[in-house]
Amino acid sequence: MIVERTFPHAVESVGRARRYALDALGELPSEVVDSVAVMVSELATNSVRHAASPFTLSVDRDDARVRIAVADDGDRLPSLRTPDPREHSGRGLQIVRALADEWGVIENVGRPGKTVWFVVSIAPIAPIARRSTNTTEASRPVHGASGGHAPSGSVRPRSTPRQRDAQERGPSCRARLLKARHFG
Amino acid sequence: MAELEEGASDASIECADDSDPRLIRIRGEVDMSNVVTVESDLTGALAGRPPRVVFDLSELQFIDSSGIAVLLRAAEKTDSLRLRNPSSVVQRIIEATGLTDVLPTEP
Repeated sequence: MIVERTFPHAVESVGRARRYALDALGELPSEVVDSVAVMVSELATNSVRHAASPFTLSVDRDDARVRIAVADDGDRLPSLRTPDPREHSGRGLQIVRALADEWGVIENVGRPGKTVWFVVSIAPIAPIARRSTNTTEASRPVHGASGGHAPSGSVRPRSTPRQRDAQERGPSCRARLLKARHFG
Repeated sequence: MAELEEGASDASIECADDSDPRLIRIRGEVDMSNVVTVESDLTGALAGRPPRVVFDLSELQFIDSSGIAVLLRAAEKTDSLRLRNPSSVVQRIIEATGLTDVLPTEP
């Protein structure tokens, strides 16, 4: 399954791209969903921030892994930084590197622009609907400034599934259900 | 919490400002599209520079590096900030970016 959509150069496109990717991917383990959501958001944010063009999000999934790519016409290549804790930006690719099994950048040849992509393996414990997908490896770019470390197909240890039973947690702010802006 | 299909992501900030530590609940989704609003709301919630603050993230459905940056700026407005119930992916992000000292989780 490969689908793609082009989003306008606008901040609203970040969330729209994220939701589009999650809709296209369908059912997946929550850790994969959460990681993919963050990484799509980071790549879309980088594009909106640094390119002046729309970006095209492609979503590719089979039984073993998810591959996402964000392409735009911006000629500035993304850089992996390690900001000091006091800095307020520059962590997007650092997060992609941490959450992805592989990632990389493919620079366009003969025209401006690039594609930033990542791959996340799907843990075998996942209840995934089987589908017969022909993976066309030959159509996939095989070079680029890959910064990935894990070999293809590897499954990184996942942390325990998060528990979000918010109803039963923590003291409530209901004593003052006010949006902060109203009493600031 | 209804989300507009074509609009910015939606988040809300709720605060019990007479508590110590000051408990601030961040709900919804925080990304580039709504960081300005969220930061403005958080600045209001941090008025008076409370010495101790807890951000309750139990109902935070999504946050990325744009939102983390807002949390970092908020951390400068108090002497002690703790996160309550960050999701596992939020914890991984904070660890991967070396921010565990600035954005520590409640023990």
